[in-house]
Amino acid sequence: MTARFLAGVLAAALALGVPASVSAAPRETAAPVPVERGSITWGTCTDDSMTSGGWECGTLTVPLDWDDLANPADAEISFGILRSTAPDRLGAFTFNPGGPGGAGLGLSEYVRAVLPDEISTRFDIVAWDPRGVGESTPHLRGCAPQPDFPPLPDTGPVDWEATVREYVDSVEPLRRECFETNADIAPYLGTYYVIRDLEALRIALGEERWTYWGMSYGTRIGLRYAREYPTRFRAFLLDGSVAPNETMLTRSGQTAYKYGHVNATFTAAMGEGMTAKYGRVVRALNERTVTIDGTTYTRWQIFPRVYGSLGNQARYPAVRKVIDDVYAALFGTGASARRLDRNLALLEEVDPDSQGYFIDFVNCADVHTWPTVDEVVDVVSTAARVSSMTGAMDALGRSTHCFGLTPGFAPRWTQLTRPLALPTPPIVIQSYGDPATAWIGGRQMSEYFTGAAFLSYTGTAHVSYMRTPSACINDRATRYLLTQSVPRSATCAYEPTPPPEP
Amino acid sequence: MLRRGGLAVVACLALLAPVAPAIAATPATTPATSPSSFPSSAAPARPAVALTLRPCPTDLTGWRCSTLTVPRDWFGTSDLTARIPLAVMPARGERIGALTFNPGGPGGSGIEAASRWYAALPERMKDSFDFVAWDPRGVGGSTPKLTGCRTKSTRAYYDRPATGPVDWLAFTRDVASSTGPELQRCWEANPDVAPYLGTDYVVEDLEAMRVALGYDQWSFLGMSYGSRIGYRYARAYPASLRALVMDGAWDPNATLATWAAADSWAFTYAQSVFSSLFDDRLAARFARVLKALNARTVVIDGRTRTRWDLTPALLGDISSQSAYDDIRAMIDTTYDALFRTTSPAQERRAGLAFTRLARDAEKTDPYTLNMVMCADMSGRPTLEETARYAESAYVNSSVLASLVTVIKGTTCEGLPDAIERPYPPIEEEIALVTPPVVLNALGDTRTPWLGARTMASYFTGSSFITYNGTQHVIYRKLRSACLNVPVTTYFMTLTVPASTTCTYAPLRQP
Repeated sequence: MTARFLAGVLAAALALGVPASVSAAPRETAAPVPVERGSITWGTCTDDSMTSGGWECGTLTVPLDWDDLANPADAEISFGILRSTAPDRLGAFTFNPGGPGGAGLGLSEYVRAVLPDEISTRFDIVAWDPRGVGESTPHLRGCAPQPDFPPLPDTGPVDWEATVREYVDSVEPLRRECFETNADIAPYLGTYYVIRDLEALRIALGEERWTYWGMSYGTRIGLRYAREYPTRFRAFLLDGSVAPNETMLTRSGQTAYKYGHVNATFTAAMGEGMTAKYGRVVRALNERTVTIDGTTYTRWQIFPRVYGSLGNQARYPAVRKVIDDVYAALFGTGASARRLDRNLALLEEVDPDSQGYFIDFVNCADVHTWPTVDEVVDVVSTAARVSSMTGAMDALGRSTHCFGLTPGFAPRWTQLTRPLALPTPPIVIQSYGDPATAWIGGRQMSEYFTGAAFLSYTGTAHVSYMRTPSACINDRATRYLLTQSVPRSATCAYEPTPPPEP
Repeated sequence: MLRRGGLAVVACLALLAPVAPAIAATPATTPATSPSSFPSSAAPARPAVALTLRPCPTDLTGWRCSTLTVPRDWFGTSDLTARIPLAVMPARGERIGALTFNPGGPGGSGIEAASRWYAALPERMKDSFDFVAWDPRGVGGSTPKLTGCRTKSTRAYYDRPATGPVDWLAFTRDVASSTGPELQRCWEANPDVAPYLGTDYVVEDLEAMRVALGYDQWSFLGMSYGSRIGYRYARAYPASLRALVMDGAWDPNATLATWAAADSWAFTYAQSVFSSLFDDRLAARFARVLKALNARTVVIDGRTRTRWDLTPALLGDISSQSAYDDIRAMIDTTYDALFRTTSPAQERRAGLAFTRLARDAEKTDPYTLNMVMCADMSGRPTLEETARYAESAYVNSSVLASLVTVIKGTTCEGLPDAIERPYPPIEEEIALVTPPVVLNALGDTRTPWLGARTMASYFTGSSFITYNGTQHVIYRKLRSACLNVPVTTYFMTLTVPASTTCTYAPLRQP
């Protein structure tokens, strides 16, 4: 098992909003028929989960380059809609599950199922794959797999400077090559275009406004849509929010301290004994490996999976068992390799190769001020020293998206200098210990919307609405989505997820 | 308030052999041995002392004073002594016990803070507790005290560019080359003092004080750095604590590096939490001002101001609610001066605010702080690491955050490694008979929330009260029943409150 794979597990788990299956095979299309831009071609739903239950599916044709309509290339946005038959229908509800790279269609049934009935029945639910994702085109093609992280020592200090330089040297030419191979489409994948697609979809469906649930990266889509089309959100929920004025440097710099908050929050949430226990495990695994039933485990097999799982409370029991087992192996007896493997496997399900370059191209189009190699070394070393090895690995992944790319390949983005005023202010939901999008970013996001409500959650959930049992969050957000009444800001206490019914 | 039982305990403890590891008699050359733990059974020899309390001089009306004499070197063989002045205000009614406190620093004088602190307490507390104020060794009227150390200058470092990039490594080296020799001279000039400052000694002094005053236990309120005294006392003498409140709490496992690096984000949190307390435009204005000041200077009240004097005024005192009005005036005026126009009245108001904030920001601690910090914590950052943290602080916040980072990162420059007598990281939870209460504000820059959260997590069954503000040290500072009542009730009845988050409490109710 390579360090790169593990880093991939971490990066992918942290990037995506919702841990359901997100990969959908690109659609096999019949011979292209010329279609008018902005028009919908209705077809049958191909995603397994949408073939029953009343979903209608279609494809919206949009220009690849919204700023150059003379460019004949198109993008096709695949979507599904589940229409409300309620007499008191409230409008159209849509969402983006994060990433970048998360497919909406693959999650459509999940979203329908987690939403309270009074929402799922009173809205048309619209699921869509952003351009470049899932069933929507264009797709990147012909790119080499992303390179491995350089091997990292099992124990002891890591030479992060050498690691950073080696990794950048290896990824730079491959990414440049991928970009050049896809020069006709790679510049057009950024959120600048995605929000225009979303607006075109609204118009094509004849919807007046969206009620929108942005999860993780989906909050960036929401923010930018709100800036461009401020009257088109009926209600806007930012759940696990990015920072409004993030740059690539502050984005990666956050990881230096984010993991301290993750640690403090999840060990406190998991109850007495866990803070001390986890602290001991971290210190011990930085000094030695642990062998259970003849199998040797290193820190790289444990921590990336733990952190990659903390955003989803349903995995807390498995996280606890992993930590208990490693602790027992390090300091006591009774550890079982089979049990540990089983529990580790529960913490791992994301395909690390899912669209690595796609994520790079979107992020680097969206977020400016790319760091230099020296700045990456600084950020990663700081994270390792003051946070954790996992924090350093995360920072390395987050700060190296753009090496190999040339600045200015996508439309320029400007920072917010005054708050946005929407007809109905949004709600931002953020956990203190969110391992993917730092709490501070969500807090800042709420400060950039006039009259916004900020709901803090004292857990580590990344994307919290209906994914934690907190009535404090769920009831407020549900009422807001139904009535547009903005709740008062609040801090909501961690609520453990009840074990599944046997 | 002396009771016979107390003296018996003294005699008993004095019979125990001193098993605690000795630190080097000449710490400048011999590496110190870190005491790996301080189980109370291994308590150092404790001399039997009886204290006579006399009326205090001058401003401590109603208090009774004395001075405790203790070994200067609790873990070695030196014959030198330390003298700890203390003041007691007896309970007015039926006594529950003895309550003592430390106001922080390191370097804060308990005696000096005594009247103000006492006055702020609820009446039922005054009825029920003997209050004990004292000066930690090295502070106020205590001995040993550092002498012959030059007044620290924090002003003349580096040729600071008014705008544009800062070479933080050059800056850090410059600070180190200025403070390092001063600290080294101070260390060398105080061979009988400097090696005997540090929280490990303070904890022994505090225990000796309890015994000498004849109290069974302390109820302890640790503010800021005082929380470190409380935490270490809890590790060393868990049975001697009746109740423990840590208000503005340290990270129990802080190292010098994590302490310095914390400012790369603590000011960002403070700025964000502060901004959220006021109108919707403040956050954007505040952020825009900080950003613009890296690009240009601004004229306010007839004077050209740069980021080097404006960011300390804007952020330096942000963890004190009493500075909020001035900070808001500074933000508004600087914003208007940068991007719009200002009125003369507004400029005058900002000029006054600036003077007040600058005065607050100029407060410096004596060298005692350096000696205590460097004795208590390990993990000194290199100058390169400090510069790195400063760079992060600059990107995330401002030159003020970087400046604080550099000052922290160079705290131990010039001091020998042997000064370090840190605890090893805490491994197991501390189980006190009555678990402690920890309070901290989300946007506290002095003791960041994260450290306090960690502190609370290391005590079995503790209560953690979060304040949705930036105020550093909160109990009885604000009119918030959510913050004050649970702590008072805890002291009175030992009822550990449920962990909670308390909403912002303005100093003046709207």
